[in-house]
Amino acid sequence: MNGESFFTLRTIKWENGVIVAIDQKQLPKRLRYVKIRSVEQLSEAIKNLTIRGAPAIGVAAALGLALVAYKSRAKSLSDFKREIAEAYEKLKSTRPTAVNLFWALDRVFKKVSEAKDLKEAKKSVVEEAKAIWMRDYEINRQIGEYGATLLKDGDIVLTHCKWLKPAECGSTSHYWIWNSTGSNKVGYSQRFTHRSLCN
Amino acid sequence: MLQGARLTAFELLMDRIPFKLITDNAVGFIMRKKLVDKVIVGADRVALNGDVINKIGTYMLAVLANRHGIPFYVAAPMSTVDLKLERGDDAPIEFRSREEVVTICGCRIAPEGVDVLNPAFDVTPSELVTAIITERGVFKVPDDLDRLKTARLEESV
Repeated sequence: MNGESFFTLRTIKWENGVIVAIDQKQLPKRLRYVKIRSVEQLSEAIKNLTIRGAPAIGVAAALGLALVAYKSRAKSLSDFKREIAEAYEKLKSTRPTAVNLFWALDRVFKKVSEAKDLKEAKKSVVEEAKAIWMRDYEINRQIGEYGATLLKDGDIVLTHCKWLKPAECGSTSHYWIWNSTGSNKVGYSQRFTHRSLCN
Repeated sequence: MLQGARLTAFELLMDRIPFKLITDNAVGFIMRKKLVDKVIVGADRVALNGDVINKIGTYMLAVLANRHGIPFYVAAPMSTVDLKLERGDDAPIEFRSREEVVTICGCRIAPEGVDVLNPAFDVTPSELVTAIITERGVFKVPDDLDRLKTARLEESV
């Protein structure tokens, strides 16, 4: 920890064909990252809550398909489609409730069906997954800005069920609120000085 | 799971944000004492009628917030809005293992042989939701639900 802001940490990262994720099961005792190199490993990590939180699950699943594309040795587009479809089904069956999982998988899967050849298919799977991952950061920031307009200085906010933010934002679903207590890590953070209750 | 204690508290501490950790059971008392101004929760799925599926316990919080006149906000990305889900009660709710209930961090707390019911999510009916905060803005429930659906349709897939 070393006083480092959580803002600088990343819940999920894509590092040259490897998914690197904070092991949420080990928190708060240990802050460890796990390296995920296969769809089997990723499915297990989602099921056992190593990776949890609806948007994070979505991002992870999308990157799971990127993992397949990155490693694929398929010789034809149809072989590749089969590989992706298999991974898609496996990831889809990990957890049933968070719809972000299916949303993200469908978004990436669509790219495979639209592709004209193998090369394009592989490339667009990785690109789409990475786009979902990167965009997530911006989405969280925007939710934060809109959310902040609802709060008054001094408000005490009760939260329940947080998720670790995927991508750069690195923190919680309600980061902006807590951040807005004046911890001064993002531009709009100084407006409020309220406290949080969490359960 | 103890998410508040394990994860949220960890992050708030790291960010030096003043907070107090409370148990789920303390919520009613604390709201009665007027110690809460707003409630904000996440979501795993939002139905078109504004019902919200989220971590188990959310519904209890929403009922209590309503009883005490405290605004109840849901923060979620647009991708959480399920265009195929008309109402929350039709959403698939995951039930998780008994192990999660009878043990805490590897320590067994219940007698051997107990039967367990462990729903991981619940449904909060839309009449208890004040507004949904997304990356496309704040949508009041129920007044802005049509706008929410339109905004969701504009997203791809």
